[in-house]
Amino acid sequence: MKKALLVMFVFIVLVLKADDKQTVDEHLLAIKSAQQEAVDEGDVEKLKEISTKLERLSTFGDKKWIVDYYLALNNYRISTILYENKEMSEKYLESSKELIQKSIAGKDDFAESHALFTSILGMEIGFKPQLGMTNGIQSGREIEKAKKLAPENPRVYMIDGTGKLYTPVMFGGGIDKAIGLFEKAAELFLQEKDMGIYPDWGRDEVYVWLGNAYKEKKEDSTATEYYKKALEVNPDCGWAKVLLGEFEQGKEEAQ
Amino acid sequence: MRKVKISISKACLFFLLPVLLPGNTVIEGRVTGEKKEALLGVNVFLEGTLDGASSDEKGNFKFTTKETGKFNLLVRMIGYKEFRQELFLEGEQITIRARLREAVVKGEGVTVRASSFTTGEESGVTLTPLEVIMTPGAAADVCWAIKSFPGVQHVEEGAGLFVRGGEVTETKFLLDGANVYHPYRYESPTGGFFGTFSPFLLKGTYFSSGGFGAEYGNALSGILSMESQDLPSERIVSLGMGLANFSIAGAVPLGDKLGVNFSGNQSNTKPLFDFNNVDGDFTEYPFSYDLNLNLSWLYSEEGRAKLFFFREKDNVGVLLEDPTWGGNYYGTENSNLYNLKIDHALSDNSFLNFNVSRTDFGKETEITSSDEYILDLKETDRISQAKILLEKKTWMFFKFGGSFEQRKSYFEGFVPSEEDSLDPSIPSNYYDREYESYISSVFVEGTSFFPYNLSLTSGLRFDRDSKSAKNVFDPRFALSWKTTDVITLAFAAGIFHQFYEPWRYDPEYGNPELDPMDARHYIVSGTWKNDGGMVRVEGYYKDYKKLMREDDSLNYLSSGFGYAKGVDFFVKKSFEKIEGRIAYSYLRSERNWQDYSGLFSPDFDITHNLSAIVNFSPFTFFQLGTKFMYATGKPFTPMGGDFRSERLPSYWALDLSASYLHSFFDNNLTVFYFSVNNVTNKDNILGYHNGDENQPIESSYGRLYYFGVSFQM
Repeated sequence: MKKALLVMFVFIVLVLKADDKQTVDEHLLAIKSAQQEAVDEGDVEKLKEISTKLERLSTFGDKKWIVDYYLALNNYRISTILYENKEMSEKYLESSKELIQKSIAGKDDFAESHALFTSILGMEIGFKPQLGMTNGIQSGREIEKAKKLAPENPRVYMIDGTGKLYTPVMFGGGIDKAIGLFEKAAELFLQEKDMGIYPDWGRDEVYVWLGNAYKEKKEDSTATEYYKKALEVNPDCGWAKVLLGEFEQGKEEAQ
Repeated sequence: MRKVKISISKACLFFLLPVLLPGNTVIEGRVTGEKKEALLGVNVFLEGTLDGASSDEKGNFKFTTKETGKFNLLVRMIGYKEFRQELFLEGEQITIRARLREAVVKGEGVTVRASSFTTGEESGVTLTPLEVIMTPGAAADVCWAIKSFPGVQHVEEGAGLFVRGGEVTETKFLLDGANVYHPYRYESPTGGFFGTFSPFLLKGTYFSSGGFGAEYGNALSGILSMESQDLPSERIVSLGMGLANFSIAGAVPLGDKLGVNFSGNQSNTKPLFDFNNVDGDFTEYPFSYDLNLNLSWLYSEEGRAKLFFFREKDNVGVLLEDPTWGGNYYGTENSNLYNLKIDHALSDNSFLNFNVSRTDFGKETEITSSDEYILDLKETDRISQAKILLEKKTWMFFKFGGSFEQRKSYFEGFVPSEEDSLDPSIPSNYYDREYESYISSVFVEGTSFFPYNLSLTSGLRFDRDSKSAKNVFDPRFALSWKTTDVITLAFAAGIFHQFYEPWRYDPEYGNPELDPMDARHYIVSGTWKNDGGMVRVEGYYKDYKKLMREDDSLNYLSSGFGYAKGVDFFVKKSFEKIEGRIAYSYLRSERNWQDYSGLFSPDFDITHNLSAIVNFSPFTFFQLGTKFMYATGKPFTPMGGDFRSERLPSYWALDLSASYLHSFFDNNLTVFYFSVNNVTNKDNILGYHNGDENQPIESSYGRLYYFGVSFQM
């Protein structure tokens, strides 16, 4: 009996030690899932908790560039949710920008980082319109680099589409161009396989963006269809729920 | 037997326990901000582990770790500088008190140190290369753009940087750590018409109008330190064409670790002057070209090497008109700069910078009158330099470095026997002289941080010039106190020396006993800044000694003296689509030097200097800019009047610019730009022939239109 207890004790201790040795990959897989959940819920506190964990993970030394990428993405998400709180939103965006630059410095050929950098630069223009010209040039370079590095990456086209959606036609943007890019992204998302620790977010968002583009075109019914499609892909997609809710409310008020 | 077995197991367990069950260490404490206010949600953890906690609303945190041994505790929060403390974990409770300092808000473009401005994409972002291009009236020139900052006086229509009552040669230029002795194109006694380096070659620029650190020597008034572009991350080719220039530039990555930036520019001002009907009396229109090759190599995780080559050539010919004589001026210059710079991280907090450079400069100047040479001089200047800098960040920020510079100058030709006089009736002397000098330097500087947001930088510099066999010691210090979240007060003082050019020590034409020029700077500064803008006011006093005086028997003496005092005011503000800045400087400067017979105002004593810039971006890809510039007229000696008793009429000009970006296809960026300098066509007077107010020397530049396009793929 005593021997059995001893074996059990040693086993428990070893299991506990084994937990300590969880790899960066395993942590990242868990974080990816938690991040998606927090984004669906629009839960800033959960996202902050994730940032806390990622910050600690970034000191492990292993795969720092991808940890920095997820931390940049996480802080970018926080910044977008806190957009109305300019001071806080800017702080998170600034942090996101620093982190994505670190990630790129660590691994320059990771297309996801260049694509995310494009989004960050675009959002920065929202806060500081005077940066429009310089950031506009840089974001153009970043997205082109991302396309060259990963011509089949759906997020790259989706992010390119978001930029084009709010860029006037005469400057190479426009709604139709954006829709084309979103459609291509949606198609590529269907082909995307299990990405493991690498990013796979956006398969629902791309339909929300399509909806937004058609909303800009004043084609509300098509927009609604795409928001519903986003919910088909991810029933928890909070952004789609909110936008659909707004549509329903608008309809009721019109009636 | 059975009992023995169990005993062994127990014994094993006993010995294994310390290994299998690490001692639990409890780490607890409190995190506060600069005013001891509790900080919520701060991430406190052990580096390299997930063990940690977030602080609660009282700033308290507590967590347990099984780790043992030496670990770093990190305390991090967005918007604050990281706190780091080494701990030894051995199972006993540890209590921590961490006080976080707010990180400097990026984007305001001003360092805490008095009198300095930092530009570039990496730090501060006051003027990125593109913003230099878009500074109205700056003609896409770094020096012209810097002239819109406080503390730089408008003395001539050129690029010369006259800083706070200092002469143009008192501002030192550096590129990637290498001394640049010929920083202007179309050199003239007041500097030159343009800066040598295009903003597109540069990553960033540091400008200090005084009180700079011990790292910089052999400069009395100002520092302009430029950093060239880094390793390119993608292939870019751009073509530019304007009314007076054609350029090609590119960046090519050669794998992950190697890359090259290159550029070639040609400037021909004839179309510009013809288009604007400018009668500049040119016999040869100003023409220049430059080539640049910049190779970057990340040779390891810790280091990078940068090899920079730059070649520039320019020439100009102009008619000289004086009421008593007429003549022709022709000048041509060429300059080659080679610089190898190595940046190497010795550890996480130690950095080594090393550079070797070589400059070859050649200049030919001819002045003729009635086919007779008044001046015909060839100059060559060869400068070789090695420099080393060690930086270490511990409880203080420590810098230690040294440099060795060899300068060989050669002059050959005829020069009028009276300096600064081109009267054909004055006989010329024939020169054939070679000079060689060495300057050796060592410096040390440390910055310490104290409670109540105080920081103190103190440094000491030693320079020795072989030509004059003179040694100088320059102690300098700067104090900064961040009194509130938005207000910083600073004070800087120090001694600054500058050696003369080698030929001034010539026993026949100069004086081997000349002492180096000496200036003492005293600066007080107050800065208010928040996310939306900043205001800075600085007062300064500069005491000049050992300035050069002309002497009939010894040629020159070091008995000159003078002073400069003034106030600089700077405000910068951004609104939604508008950003602007105003720089105003009040200056009073007097010198007893050169051939003066007492204390008088030199040319660069410009009492009021105002520069106001507004940029407006009605939408993302379009920008309008305007600049208004005003400067008190220079002092001059009226015909038959007292020495330097009058001033020229005030100088002012209004400039406008517009730029528009368009993308013709994917990955294309096309910039169209248009500018009008001196919109009101103001006839600015630059001087009077022989002090006669009836014979004004007017600016050649009335209203000047310029346009061009830059095409990037």
